[in-house]
Order: sequence, then structure tokens, then C-alpha cells
Amino acid sequence: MRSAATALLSATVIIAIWHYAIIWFHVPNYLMPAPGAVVEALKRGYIAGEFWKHLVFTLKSTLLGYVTGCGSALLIGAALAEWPAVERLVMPYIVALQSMPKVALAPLIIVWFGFGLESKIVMVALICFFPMFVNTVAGLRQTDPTLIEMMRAYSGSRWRTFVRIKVPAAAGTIFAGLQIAVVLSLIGAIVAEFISSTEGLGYLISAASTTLDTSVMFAALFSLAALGITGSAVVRSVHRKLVFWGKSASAAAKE
Amino acid sequence: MKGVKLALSTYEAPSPQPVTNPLLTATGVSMVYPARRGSTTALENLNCTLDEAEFLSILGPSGCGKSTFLRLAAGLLQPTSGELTFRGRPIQGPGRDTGIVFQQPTLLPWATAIKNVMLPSENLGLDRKDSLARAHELLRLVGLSAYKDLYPGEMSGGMCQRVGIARGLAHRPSLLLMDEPFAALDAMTREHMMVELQRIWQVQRCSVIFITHSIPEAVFLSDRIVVMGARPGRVVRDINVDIPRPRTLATMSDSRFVSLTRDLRELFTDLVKIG
Repeated sequence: MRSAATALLSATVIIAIWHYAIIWFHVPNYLMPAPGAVVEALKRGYIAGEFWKHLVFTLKSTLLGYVTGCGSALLIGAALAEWPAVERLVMPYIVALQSMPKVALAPLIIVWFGFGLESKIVMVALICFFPMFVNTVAGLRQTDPTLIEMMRAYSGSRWRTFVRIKVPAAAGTIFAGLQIAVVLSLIGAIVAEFISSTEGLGYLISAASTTLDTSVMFAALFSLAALGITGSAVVRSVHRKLVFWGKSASAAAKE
Repeated sequence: MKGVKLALSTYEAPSPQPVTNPLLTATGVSMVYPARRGSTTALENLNCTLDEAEFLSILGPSGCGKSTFLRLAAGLLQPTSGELTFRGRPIQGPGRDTGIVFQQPTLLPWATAIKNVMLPSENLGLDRKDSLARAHELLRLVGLSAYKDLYPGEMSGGMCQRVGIARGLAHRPSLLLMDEPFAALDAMTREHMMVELQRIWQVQRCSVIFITHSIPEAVFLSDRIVVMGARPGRVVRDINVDIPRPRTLATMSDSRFVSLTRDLRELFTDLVKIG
């Protein structure tokens, strides 16, 4: 409650400074819009205009890419952590892929997957993949070896050891990966839209830049921030709900 | 006449029990760990037997390979040479008829007490209803009925270790292996757990191998104590503890208890000097 009040106060102060700075220093509209103009652009965009269409497009590509990228990272990461042969086979390619800036791949992806939604999904998936993959492998490998030995002593099968011990043990790290991937997925979607798109918030920003309509650009940026914050909050709350033992587990280990 | 004889025999001086059908036999067991330079001999030519329903403590200074021996008995390790048999069959891997309690509780932090206790039965694919009833019964036995839905992070170290003991007994094993189960507990809890363990064991009546470096604990709990020496790990002495059960904390000031602990302490001092 108190932190909410503090946040509200600081936001009010910042917006006030922003507002008066523009008036006092005569900042022209095409460089920096006043907060009122941004609110106006948001209102116009979401009530009468086409903001929803763009938001839904970006949201769709981000979500689908996020699920695809994180899902495949989870599967490949799990296979790699369990079977050393898979590691020897797959790891060099993954390292090569990671060493390459994914943004540089964007034009090629457009050539392969077209100008529509598919190329955006691929871009998002590609950019989400690596942090999720690294966290999955690290999480599964850092499982307390005494728990694994205990499971072995009690005749636990490999599958049961994986499901009952390794996956829950890795859950915290996996969720950290999911959290990082939320922000990265938005970057992926926007980059893909910048390069070639007729829809999406990224398209909206680049289109508005040609007419120096900074208030629309700001409105789109705030929409993106809202998407990112919501996504992170959702992942965090699922994390807290599923990995409820986090703190108590480390306390138990200390005893 | 017969009754008198029996009563006499329980008070007789340490004499090896007739080895009719030992549960566990170790014959010439050696364990060598390869090291960077040369190798470390953890156990050398170890011979030992364990009878059905016998409580055996393995007592020794640290580094005498007692934990290695326990891991061998659990089937988690294979000896470099020699053989360990369980009911006459060589131990080739973790057995269905063995339970183990570790130094740390080693519970799943994401599972409740009752779920933790049910783990071995679930692994073995035992009947769910039976194993649930058994888990309830065991939690009652270790005095944690009211806490069955708590997570390990919500329990004290002593409570967690009781859950660990209940888990060790979940699938009704004939052999329970305990690796310094009270080492991580404070002195008060430790003494309490020792009395509790005797009570639990008297109900369950399985064979126990109890690893410890506490002399009073070994004397209090055991039918027999095997003293091990270090570097290389070997059996130094095999002692029968003929103090009647149930033993209580008062037993600990009993003359037989006191003299046995004193003898063991002297033996230990010599062992450490040699080591």
C-alpha cells in the first residue's frame, strides 16, 4: 500500500516535470510530445483508431513465438541434460547460433517466412530460445546430487527421477529463463516488425516516425511497456504459485 | 529348566551368535578409490555379518570407510574386491528390501511429509491404498501424525529426520541402513531421537545397520557393535551389547553401560593414536 503510494507520487512528479519542461523550454511537438498529447494519442488510437489491431498483432506474434521458442528450448534442453550423446550432437550448433546476433538473421527470416505473422513468430522464437535453453540445462544439472542418490537407493526409475526430482529442482531456474524470455520476445517481435510489416506496434512506431508523429510513437512505446509489464507479472505470479517452496527449501538445506 | 537356561544365556559374556542364516554377509570386501596420484583404500578385507532383526552399529573415527560400507550395503557402490550378499545373493544394485536414512533428511522440498514417506512405495509400484495407510501408520509411529501435510521447509531438523526414518520403513524393508542420521541434530534432539529410534525399531523389528561416531549412541541402540579403524578401513573389534531392552536414559548410568562406553572410549583413543 505504501509502496503504491510512493510510486504514484513519483509518477506524478515525473509527469509534471515532463509537462512543464516542454512548456518552459518550448520543445517542439515533433521532438517530444507533452504528456497530454500522448494521452490524447492513446485515446484516439484505442477508442477510434487502429491501435487494438496493432496491439493484437504484436501480442499474437510475441505469444506464439514465446511459446514455440520456450517450449522447444525446454524439450531440447531437457534432452541435452539427460543424454550426453545429444549434447555432443547438438551443442556445437546451438553455440554457433547463439554467437550470431539474431537480429542479423531477420532479413533472411523475412525472405523465408514472408511478411506476415509467421516470420515474426520465428524471430521471437529464435530470440527466446537461448536464455530458456541455458536455464533449463543449468537447472536440471544443478539438482542436488544427494536427492538423486536417495532416489536411486529407493529404486526410482530414470523417468520418475526426472519428473519427481529434477524437474521440480530446476523449476526456479526455468522460471527465471521464462522471465528473461518475456522481455526478449517483445524485442524479437518489434525488430521483425521494423524490418518488414504492415501491422503491429513496431510497424506503428516506424510508420509514425516518417511523419514525425512523436505522440503516436510514445503511445505505442507505452503500450509495449504495458505488454512487457503484464507478461512479466503473469510469469512471476505463476512462478510463485508453482514454486512455492523456494525459500523454505534453501532454509531446510541449511539445517 | 529350559527357561532358566534361556535366561542365563541372555546374560552370558559376549559370544558370537550362532550364524544360522545371516541377512547380510560381507566377505573380504575391499574398496579402493582411484585418486589423482595412486589410490585411496577406503576398506580393506572387511568381513562382517548381520542377522535378521539385529541392530548393528558401526562405530569408527571419521575416514574409516563406514559410510562407504553403508553405500556398498545399499547397492549404491560395488566393491573393488570381495563380495556382499543379501539373503545369500550378491548385491548388484539398490534392493527393494532395503531402506536408507541419510545424514541429512534428504526430503523433497516440494512434497508434504506424507508424500515424502510414500516415495519408496510409489517407486516400487506398490498398491496405493496400502502404501497410504502404511505412511499414515509410520507418521503416527514417529509422532508426526498432525504434521503430515507440512512441507520440509516448515519443519524442524528433528522432524525432517523423523520423516526420513518413516520413509526408510515405508516399503517394509528387512534392512534399514542409517548413515549417522542424528549427526546434524543438536545434542538434546539427538538424545531424544535415540530413545525414539529404539521404540520405533522395537515395533518394526527389521535389521538395522547404524553408522555413528558416537559411543553412547552405539551402546544405547545396538545388539552388536562393530568398531572400525581408519586408513585403511577395517574391523577392529566386534562386541555384543548384552544390556536388556527397552533401554532408557537411566540405563545410561547403569554400570554395564558405563563400563562398555569406557572400554570403547579407550579403544578409540588407541585407534586415533595409531591413526
